[in-house]
Amino acid sequence: VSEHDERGQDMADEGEMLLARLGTLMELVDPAPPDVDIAAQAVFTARDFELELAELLADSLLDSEEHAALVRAGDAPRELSFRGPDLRVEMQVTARGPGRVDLRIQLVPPVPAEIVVENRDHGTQAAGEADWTGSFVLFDQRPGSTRVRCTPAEDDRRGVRTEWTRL
Amino acid sequence: VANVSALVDAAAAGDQEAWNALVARFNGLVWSVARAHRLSPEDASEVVQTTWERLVGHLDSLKDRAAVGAWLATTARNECLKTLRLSARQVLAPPEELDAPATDPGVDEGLLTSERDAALWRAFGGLDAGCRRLLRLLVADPSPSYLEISQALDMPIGSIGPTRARCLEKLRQRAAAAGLSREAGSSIG
Repeated sequence: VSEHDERGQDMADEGEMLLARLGTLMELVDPAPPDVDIAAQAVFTARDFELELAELLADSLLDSEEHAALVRAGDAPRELSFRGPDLRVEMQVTARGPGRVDLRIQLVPPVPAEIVVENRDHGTQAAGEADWTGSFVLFDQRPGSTRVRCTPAEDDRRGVRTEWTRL
Repeated sequence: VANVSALVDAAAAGDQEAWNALVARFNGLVWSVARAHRLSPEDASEVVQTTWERLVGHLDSLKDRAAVGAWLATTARNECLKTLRLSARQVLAPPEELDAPATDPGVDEGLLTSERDAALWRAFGGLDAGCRRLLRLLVADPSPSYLEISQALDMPIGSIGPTRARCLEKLRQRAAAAGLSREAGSSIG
């Protein structure tokens, strides 16, 4: 083993020791907080056997910079689309003024349903019913991390809850 | 280490203990993915929760149950990118905020009481963003697999080893420059 190789090995060993030490520091200064672990466990406890998850499929704010500019300027609503197994939830979010938004929800296909809009930042919820056109409007809401639960009036279609989405 | 795919099977059958074991096994990884993307602790918490919620929805349909860690890493990464894009688009950030700070948001550096640890932390903070991200993932607890890291950072598995070596060498040089080397007569650790 040449002196050069030995020195290279020493440096590599030192790098490994620094990485191990960095791991110890990271555990100290930036561990996953206990409440994050608990929340991850609670996701399972609170899983909803009635309602299927509707995943975010499209978000005009994310999908198009042009549309995002219009949304920021207040010239267009933000349009979100969530897809569940039997039901899609389309949502339009219109800025109403400082810190307030209007929500327009359209179920596809249009079915009458019970609708609950939850806001976990403020711990609030608002409930109402979509009529046979499958639409529901909620004015003057606070933005924040929001989800919509939809339970169709008729049993032949499974209800959905959207993913939490920051409005 | 418990058999991961058995845990996924048991969780899919409704076993909360198995789910908790999955959380214990992978939450460090998911958290590290979020923090490696420089999300604030609040946004990181939200990404972690969304990621686990997605897993609940997919327990029955996961194709490769043994690779649930890689699935979580991918999902967390996508959620991080979404969050970053959203926060960039919801407000017009003033230009100075676009320059990333040298240290990560929400890290409690006050806990680094020894000068050596503080110096190592500064050496880490001085690395380029790519190295910081990779090292942040490498020190996740429990240690993620290269497949998981590859999914978390969208990086070919084959490049992880060489990049790791290159980043550790940079870290070593920065630490040495700060007087943290064996040549300087000190031991690390």
